[in-house]
Amino acid sequence: MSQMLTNVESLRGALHNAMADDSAVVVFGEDILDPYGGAFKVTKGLSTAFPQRVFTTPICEGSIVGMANGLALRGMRPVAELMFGDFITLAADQLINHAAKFPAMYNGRVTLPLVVRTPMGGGRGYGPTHSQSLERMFCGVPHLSVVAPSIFHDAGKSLRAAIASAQPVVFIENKLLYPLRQQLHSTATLQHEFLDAEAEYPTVRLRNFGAGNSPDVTLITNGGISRFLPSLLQRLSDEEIRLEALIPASLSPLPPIAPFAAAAANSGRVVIAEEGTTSNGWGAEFAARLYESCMGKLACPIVRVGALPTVIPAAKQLEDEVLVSETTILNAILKVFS
Amino acid sequence: MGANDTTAIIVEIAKQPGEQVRKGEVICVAETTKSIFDIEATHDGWITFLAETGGELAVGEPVAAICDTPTSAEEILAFIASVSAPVILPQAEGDAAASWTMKAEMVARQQGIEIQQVAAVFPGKKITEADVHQFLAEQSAKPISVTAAVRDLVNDPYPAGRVQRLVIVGGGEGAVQILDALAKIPGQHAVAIVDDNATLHGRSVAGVPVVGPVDATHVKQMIQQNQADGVVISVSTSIPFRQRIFDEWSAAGIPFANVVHPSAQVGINAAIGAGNVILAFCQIGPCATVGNNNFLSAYCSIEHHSTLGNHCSFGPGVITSSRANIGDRARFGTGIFIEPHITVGHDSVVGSGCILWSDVPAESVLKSKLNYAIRQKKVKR
Amino acid sequence: MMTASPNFFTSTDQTAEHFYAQMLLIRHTEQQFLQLFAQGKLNGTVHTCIGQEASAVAVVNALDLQRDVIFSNHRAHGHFLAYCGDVEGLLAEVLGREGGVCGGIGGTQHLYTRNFYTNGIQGGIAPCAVGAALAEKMQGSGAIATVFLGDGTMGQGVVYESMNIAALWGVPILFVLEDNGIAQTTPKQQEHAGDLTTRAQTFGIQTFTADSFDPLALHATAVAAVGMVRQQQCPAFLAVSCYRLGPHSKGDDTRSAEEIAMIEQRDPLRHLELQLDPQQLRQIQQAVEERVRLAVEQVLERPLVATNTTGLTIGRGEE
Ligand SMILES: Cc1ncc(C[n+]2csc(CCOP(=O)(O)OP(=O)(O)O)c2C)c(N)n1
Repeated sequence: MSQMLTNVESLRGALHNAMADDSAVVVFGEDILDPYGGAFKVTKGLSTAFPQRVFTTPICEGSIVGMANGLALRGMRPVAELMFGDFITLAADQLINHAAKFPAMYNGRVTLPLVVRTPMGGGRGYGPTHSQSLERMFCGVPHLSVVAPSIFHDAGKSLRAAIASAQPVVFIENKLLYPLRQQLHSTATLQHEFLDAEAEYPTVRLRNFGAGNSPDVTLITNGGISRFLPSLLQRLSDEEIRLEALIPASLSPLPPIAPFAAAAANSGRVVIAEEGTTSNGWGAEFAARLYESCMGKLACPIVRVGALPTVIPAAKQLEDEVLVSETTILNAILKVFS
Repeated sequence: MGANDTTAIIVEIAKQPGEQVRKGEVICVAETTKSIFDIEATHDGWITFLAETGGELAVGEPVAAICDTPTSAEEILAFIASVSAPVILPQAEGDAAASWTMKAEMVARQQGIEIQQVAAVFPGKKITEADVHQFLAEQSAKPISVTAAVRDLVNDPYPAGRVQRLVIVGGGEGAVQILDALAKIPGQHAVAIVDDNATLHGRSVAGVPVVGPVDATHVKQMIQQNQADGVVISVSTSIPFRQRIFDEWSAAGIPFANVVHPSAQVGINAAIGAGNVILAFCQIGPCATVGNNNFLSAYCSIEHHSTLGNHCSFGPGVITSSRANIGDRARFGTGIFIEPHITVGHDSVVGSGCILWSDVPAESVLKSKLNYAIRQKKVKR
Repeated sequence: MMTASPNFFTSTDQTAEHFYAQMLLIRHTEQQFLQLFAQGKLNGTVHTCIGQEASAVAVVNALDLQRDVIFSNHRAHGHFLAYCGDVEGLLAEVLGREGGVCGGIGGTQHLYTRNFYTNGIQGGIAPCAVGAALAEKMQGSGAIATVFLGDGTMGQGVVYESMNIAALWGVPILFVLEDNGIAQTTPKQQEHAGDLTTRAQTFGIQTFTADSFDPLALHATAVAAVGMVRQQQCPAFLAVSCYRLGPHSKGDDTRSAEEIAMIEQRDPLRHLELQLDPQQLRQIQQAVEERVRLAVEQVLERPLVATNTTGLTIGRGEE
């Protein structure tokens, strides 16, 4: 098997291919031109290959997304980059009151093929305004999709799906995943499969045990948290704990709940881990959906894991304290298990 | 080190500071909660200790540094700080006897045993879930030959978190009172009711099925098949019945449980036997002793240093003062006060409304003389 | 002399009669909305453009309606009617009857037809319009975009971001400031420091100014601005000074009677009436009245919109 791509290579390749395949694709954002190629290098090489369709913009997130809306309404396929996910608040009006509204409020008579890509997540010491995971604020906005591939997803393929979609998509990348190699296949100790391979944004199922066994614990998580999973699954396997991790790429709308409910009922123990804070979050919504369909089938209450409800500090040891770690997830798993 | 250890204590330093050591030589001895182990030199060279005898080190903290030339501790510490690559305290080898998988530990806990018990049976092995299951299978095959006290500690049949499942004898109003109390007790719940009234069979009381007649063999079987853990008698009206069932079934090895309503107060050093039903707002005072198989209705108080025998039945609101002494099979009505130091002999019957200020001989019957007249109220129309 | 023909309201003739007819159509339709609201037949709200009809008619008629893109705001009925004349589509949309341009989902502030888009968020449409204009430029359609902004909306930062980008990248967009001197209830002086008409100039955007009291003169200015945008592929800014004769929406006018009396003197319809032959005037008035009356009658007879409207189901996922 050939060496797997890193996440950033996969995304970059997808952008190149999308631009090559469709002249309606335009890319813009702050500082994305070569030689710099964007703060996280996802757009590197694009402006050289497609100088007419790659724009570096002023610092104006609201208008970056606003322009993308206008382009999308008028037949283009804009892919806007927001340099840091934290800045998406400045584009919230354009996402919620424009992008997500136009197709519905014009009664389906326009499409809005917009992709807003942005890196979320901490762990890099960037401090309170450059480390957050704000995607949950856009989860649950009707007619807006929030997509976040994990390292077990083909990020490039997800991005192509987002670009091909007629819906506005907030596409969450995770800073710490960029340099990691994608893991798209099973290994000797780790079973990798898709719950719904044909879905636009499929859900990955990872298991540290073979067929014929049932899981002890079900972990539902997404995006950046996936970086902990190879080690965590190995550790749990050393401890004989059979873990099934379900990793949807579509954060909003949530994928159909039935297979998740079945998995939860099967193990009876569920941990939901997310990178951001838990209150009113993605995990809360997921837990509510699970309770709606498998109340009484669980052996213990669902446990949610997320960042502490405070700002994300810059200093390493403080940041570590606030953010989710492999250990916090492990402890939650042990908690539901005992 | 052991799975639970995060620190070790240096018990002996085997080399002189600055001494030349060879790879593999013992440089010091460390102790964890589980064992003592040697720490060996990892290289040839000159040793500088960074810890002293008696010092406690966290995992990962350096014990000593071995350098190609003699070097001072300060220089080494400065160097370590600059590269932050500490000399790692080695994991003790041969200490696998104290290790187990988390799954094994949790399965053990769920089964009410300690993982160390299993580890003791499989020395030198990392204990797995399968080992725990094997241990449990062997345990249940062995007859239990330990004394009760030891058994409680070693093989606690009711480990924390496990719910005690009860069979209630009698499906009448007493059962309803017991079920009401059990509904408020997280650690106990009723799984079945037995009653000789065949019309009740196959029906249920507050959701608990009446499974058959009052039959020791059947109940014993339920307990052996791990469907129930103990028994309590709900019948308060027939003392002979209470006593017969309690004595015969105890002899047959059927365990009796106490049901104590959570609103009841039990004082310090109070002793309560088995098979007692103590309903809402009762008080068992400090240093009071309650025997077996008593039925205390609501608002009864067995005050401090009092002694209550066996198989007694109390209506609501029976209040003793201190150091009362109540014999076996006594029966009390409603609303009775008992002065301090009073003895009520066995098999006595005390009627409602009595106030006892003198001792009551055994097999007495007391009827209150308190009286009242009822007359018609004059109503102005 | 012109007579009222069936295409009377959408004719491309740039004459006083036509402007008057279109403006009167807008005026009557808006008055109908206020009346329907008073009668309890209108759910929600409307922001009428009574008094500002000239700006709508003069600017929209300067555009190439086959291809140019228009973004408008909460006060868009005039722009809409000048663009397409679809009185029934607008009435039905606002009254929640079948045949509304957005199936009754959008309502008064959220209209869409062909290349015409509106939204109720002040300022948010500015970058959308820049993006739309950029798309037209990239596709080589020759179209430009126009965005209508009120004076109050000039407080929004995103408007200036849009001007900056439009100027920087040479985006063919006409920013139209409809300066009626008030935002809801707040006079311009209480909201803005400095002069609104000079703001776009800071970005190097050519600025045109005109008064809506004289619709034909305003139109000429608009034509010049549109021409420049199209030819030079760059933005322009057109500041139209106008007066809002009616309330902000309904019954929420806090201005004094004297002020309103003064504003009535500046009604652009009066101005055109003086230029038209009385008989012709009557003809137009009758035609417009008839047109609006029939439209209202007809739309009120239509059934209410069905609840399972398509727009509400797009990409909603599993609930
Ligand atoms: C973002 C936003 N803030 C506030 C409002 C509420 N609002 C609607 S219209 C209006 C006044 C707008 O004034 P102006 O831009 O001068 O336009 P005019 O109403 O005078 O046509 C306000 C405050 C809104 N729709 N959008």
